[in-house]
Amino acid sequence: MMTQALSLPFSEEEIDVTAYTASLISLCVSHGILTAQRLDALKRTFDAQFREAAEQLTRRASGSLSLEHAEKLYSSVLYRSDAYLLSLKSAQSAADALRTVPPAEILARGAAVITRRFAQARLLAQRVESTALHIGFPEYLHAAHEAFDEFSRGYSARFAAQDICTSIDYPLLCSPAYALKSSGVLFICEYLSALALENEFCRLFPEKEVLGLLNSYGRLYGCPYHRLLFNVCAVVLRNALAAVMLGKEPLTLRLTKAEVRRLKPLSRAEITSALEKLTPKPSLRRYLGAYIPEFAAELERAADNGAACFPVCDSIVKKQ
Amino acid sequence: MHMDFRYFPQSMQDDSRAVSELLALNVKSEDFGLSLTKEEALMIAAAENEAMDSRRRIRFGKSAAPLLLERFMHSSFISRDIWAETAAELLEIFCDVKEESCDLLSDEEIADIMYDFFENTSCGSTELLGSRDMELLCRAVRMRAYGIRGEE
Repeated sequence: MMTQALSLPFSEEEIDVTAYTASLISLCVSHGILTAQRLDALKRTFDAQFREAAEQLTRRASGSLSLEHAEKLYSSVLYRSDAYLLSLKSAQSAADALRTVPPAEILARGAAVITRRFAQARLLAQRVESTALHIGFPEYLHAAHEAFDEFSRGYSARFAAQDICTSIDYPLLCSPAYALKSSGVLFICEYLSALALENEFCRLFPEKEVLGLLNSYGRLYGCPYHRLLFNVCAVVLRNALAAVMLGKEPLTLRLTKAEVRRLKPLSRAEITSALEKLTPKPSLRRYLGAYIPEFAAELERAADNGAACFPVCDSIVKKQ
Repeated sequence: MHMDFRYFPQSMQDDSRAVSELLALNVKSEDFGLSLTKEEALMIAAAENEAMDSRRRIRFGKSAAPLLLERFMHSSFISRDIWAETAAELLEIFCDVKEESCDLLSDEEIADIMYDFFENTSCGSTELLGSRDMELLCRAVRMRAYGIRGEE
């Protein structure tokens, strides 16, 4: 007999993605979607898996753990469930899985998701590294060339699946790394996916022009660009969009002072149209599109008080 | 009504099993003139739970009490009238060492080390064992584990 899918009486936004399983269970129990019996079955399975993980962690030579270690280990067990439920892409499907899938199967499927994501992260890291820009920007270079190695050296999917194991300072287009809500292998996948898209976009432009732009950007702030902490793709995108809006050839980054002064606020629809001229690729447009509100605000600021964050780049830079 | 479920590990205690194992030790300990009554075994099991809880340790496996008593029944400093009370004190020290050594030592290692110090350095004093010898040991373990960074 097929179990009928229920329509959820709460929204996806109410679920805490940093503790997905616990949060979803809490909401489901509150709204009578999960019975006490089912909750008990889930908890017993989580406890049993925790006990087994603790035995393995202590090589079956200890009978106790500090609360700190125990919580971390329990979080690692729950992370497997989080990974599986998040892979279902909707709260509805996740709630149905909590109701109907055997608890041990939820964790087993989650472990499989983590393994797949790790393999995916490795491929993404290779892609990021092969498309990395040749710029002397330490935080970017670390993110592009070292972060995944650091992550994979320290990552334990069994005992600390939620750990990030790498320190990434380089911010993404619309978010610093620390603001991403994902953790563990899901975090590194999300971060590297984003960085791969940013590299792909920046590579649409001649590298000399990108370097020239970055040097000009540094001059805006009175220091070499590699001493600042900023997102390279944002700087490139900003100038590229401005160039399109000024009627220049697409994929141009160079703007003159006079051209920057001519920039006017535009609607988001107009900016989206400018973005479409830069790339036909849907995944790239989707990703870069998240920057449009920020760009619109930048144009407003430029119009209101003359301050603009558009580096003037009117000559080819000498290679350093 | 919104119910907030948080999944934190809770101690998994099996007191009846621990008491059975303690009483089963009487077969061996009587050779050394030591034995426990059922009440004393219950007291020791409760003392272990209390020691774990007060140090916020989570039990997931076997009780450490039978392990400790099996070592210490050989002690030349313990007599029948202080056997149960000493066992409870040793469990307190055991839990301290587990915590202060950052879970780097196994239960057996700690039991062996405690017995060795008790017999040869603390000369039968649980106070010296806990406040001096084990504290020095735990500091050395942490220093060794965390290198030149010293204590965490």
